[in-house]
Amino acid sequence: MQNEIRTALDVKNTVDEILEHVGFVVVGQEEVLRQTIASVLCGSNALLEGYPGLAKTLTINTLSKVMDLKFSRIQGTPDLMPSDITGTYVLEEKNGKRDFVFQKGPIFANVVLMDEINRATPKTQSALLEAMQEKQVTVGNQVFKMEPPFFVLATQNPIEQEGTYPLPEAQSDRFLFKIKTQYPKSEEEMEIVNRFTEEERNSDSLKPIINADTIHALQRMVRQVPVANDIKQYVVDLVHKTRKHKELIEYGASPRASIGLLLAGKAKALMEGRNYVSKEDINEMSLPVLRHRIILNFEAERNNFNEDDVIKYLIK
Amino acid sequence: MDIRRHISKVKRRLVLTKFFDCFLDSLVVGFAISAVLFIFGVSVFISFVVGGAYLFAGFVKAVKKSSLSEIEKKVPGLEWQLRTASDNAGKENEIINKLNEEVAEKVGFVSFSDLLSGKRTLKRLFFVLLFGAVIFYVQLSGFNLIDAAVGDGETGPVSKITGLFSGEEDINGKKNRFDIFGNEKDIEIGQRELELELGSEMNEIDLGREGALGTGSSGGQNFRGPVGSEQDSSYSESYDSDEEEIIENFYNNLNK
Repeated sequence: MQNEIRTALDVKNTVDEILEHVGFVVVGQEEVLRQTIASVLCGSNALLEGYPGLAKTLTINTLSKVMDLKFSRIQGTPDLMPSDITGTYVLEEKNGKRDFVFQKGPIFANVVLMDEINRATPKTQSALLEAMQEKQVTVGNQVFKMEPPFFVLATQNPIEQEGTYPLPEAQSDRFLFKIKTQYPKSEEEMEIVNRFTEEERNSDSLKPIINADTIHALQRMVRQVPVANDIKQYVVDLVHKTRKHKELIEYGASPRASIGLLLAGKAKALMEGRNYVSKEDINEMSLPVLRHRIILNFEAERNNFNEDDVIKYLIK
Repeated sequence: MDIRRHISKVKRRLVLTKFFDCFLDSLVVGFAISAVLFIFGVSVFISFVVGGAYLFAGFVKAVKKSSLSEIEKKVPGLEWQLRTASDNAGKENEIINKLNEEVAEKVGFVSFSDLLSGKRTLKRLFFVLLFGAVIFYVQLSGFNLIDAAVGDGETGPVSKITGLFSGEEDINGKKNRFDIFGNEKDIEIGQRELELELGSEMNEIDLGREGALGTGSSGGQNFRGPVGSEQDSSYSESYDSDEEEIIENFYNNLNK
């Protein structure tokens, strides 16, 4: 297990080691993994979107194993209640005395996988809001702090929209990244077929590379990465552009996007072993950071533009 | 580590490069103007003034425009690092310290030549040499464009371009044999050679000597006749008697 992580190069080596270990179970999806790790390093939440069967759940599960974090999984369904997530008070009898005791829900973990988040009702989705942003849960009059590190990694698929509840803007803004999972390449799919039909591999056999303390140290390091003023200005200008281009974008990104984009740039630089953030880092991270924070107008949709096309246009 | 000191050092190098760039620019401008002035045979003092003004204005503008990003562009290994280190100078943590160390090390290797644009410098040196060669040729040959001014068309050129290698023909269609100062003994007008004999005996005329003109000659013909004048006896005033009174009255009135 990595103990001494002091330099950007150490971070790079650690990330490479994590990817190597996760790659023992998950084939391909390196970009998804990198962005998910960046989200962890930023101490933020990520939303994974992709078609069913693209190893979204497996990726997150494996990652939590490698990071030696407490993992819990919630399946989003229409009848899922907020208390099913946060927990509730139950009547407990002890020594002939009855008392209400708080029974913690699955949200009390380090990594919470909210599978198919858009199948849960808005009321239940909202139960995640406070935990995602404030890292705490309020039940009744009591506030329960989450144990750091804490992040919600949610998944949703872009098809089968019937009976789903699209995430409210306030909630989607709380996800630092919206990560798109892609179909594997032909050779990767051949590897997947071989690996899962010939031998049994699962994340249980993996050994942790880092632990909660290491993650905490890494998160601190991310915030220490220095950024040039020109880069900060570039980030602010890019986010401002999403508000100005009314011919394509109905609603632009919030200042939270500026914070997220800069933080994501720092994480990416550190993961690549650099002590500084470059413009390319920002450009690359702008897609997962901004794509769920802008709402395209009718004109853009009429021209078959998606969020990524518009962001790429803004970068140019 | 004081990263500011290292950044100042590389900034000074950039300023020096800027000065060299501006100096070459002003040299090109000065030489270009000098070449034109030399061709016209005018004083080249103005080219020094223009070149100097160009150097000053260009240098001030270049220094104002100069930034660390310029150094980063010329030294790719420093891209974004220099600006990041500069903007975060004074802050301290392990990552910043490591960055400062890297920047200080890389900045130490940045030389004057790294900051110069090779192609641009070569181009300007080429122009300096080109204009220098023009000036050298003009001075050596004594070429002057004013000499080559063209007349009204009927009379032809007032003066053809003269000098070494000019190869121009004069108004008689002959190769030029005299230079700009006319230092040539044989001057041909038309096809006939003129002999001017000034001071020869035949042209001596002593006006104080009696009969001198009678014995002298001019152009091969003897001049006969006295010097002075006589009243011509053939002249007579005759008018009609009718007009006599009118004329008499006219003179009387005139005498009054």
